[in-house]
Amino acid sequence: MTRTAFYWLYCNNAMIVGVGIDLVKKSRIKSLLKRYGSSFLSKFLAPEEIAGIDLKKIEHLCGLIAAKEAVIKATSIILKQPLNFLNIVVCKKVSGWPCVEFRKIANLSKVKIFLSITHEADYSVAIAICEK
Amino acid sequence: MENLEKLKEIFSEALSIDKSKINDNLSHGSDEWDSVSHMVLISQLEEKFNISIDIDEVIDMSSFVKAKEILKKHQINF
Repeated sequence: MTRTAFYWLYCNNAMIVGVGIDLVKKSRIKSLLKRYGSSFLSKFLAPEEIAGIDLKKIEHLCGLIAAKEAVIKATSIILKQPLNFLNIVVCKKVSGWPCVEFRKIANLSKVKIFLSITHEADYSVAIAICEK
Repeated sequence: MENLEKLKEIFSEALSIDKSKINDNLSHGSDEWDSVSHMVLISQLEEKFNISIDIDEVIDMSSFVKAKEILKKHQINF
């Protein structure tokens, strides 16, 4: 658990309802981009996410994909229908921490997501904690 | 090549699994069918069947059976 998540739970008497983790291999995304170009991204990412991606920094895109998948896993226990990639927009706080906004989904207003992303060698990893 | 065989080949390549393991029980979320495989799958279906799959269909394509249903809407018959 991240320190921020622990502090939030301590202060708000909140409860963790889900956790999700995902790992994306950078070389898989590289070969996908090489073969099909970047046009497929519009089917999986929000316009503002696409606008913010620098494709020369492949770990940025891989981290984004891992983050979305981690959030889907973390929220799956409280939802009858799992989220899809376009329900989730990964953004950045002023502090630099990643955060999540939900789109086209009604019953997540009381949910808070804590997200952390890291990169090493050929992998990007994201972990999401879902609190309600 | 028959469309069903073509579809199985696409699934086999995108999900990196043997063609013999592709059947109507295969669904998104299985070990082989993760989010990146789904991106590969959609890109290959568009390229090899020369169609454009819209966002709702991308989301809806949650199983091999669903993929066949969606392709039928694009006049790809099985």
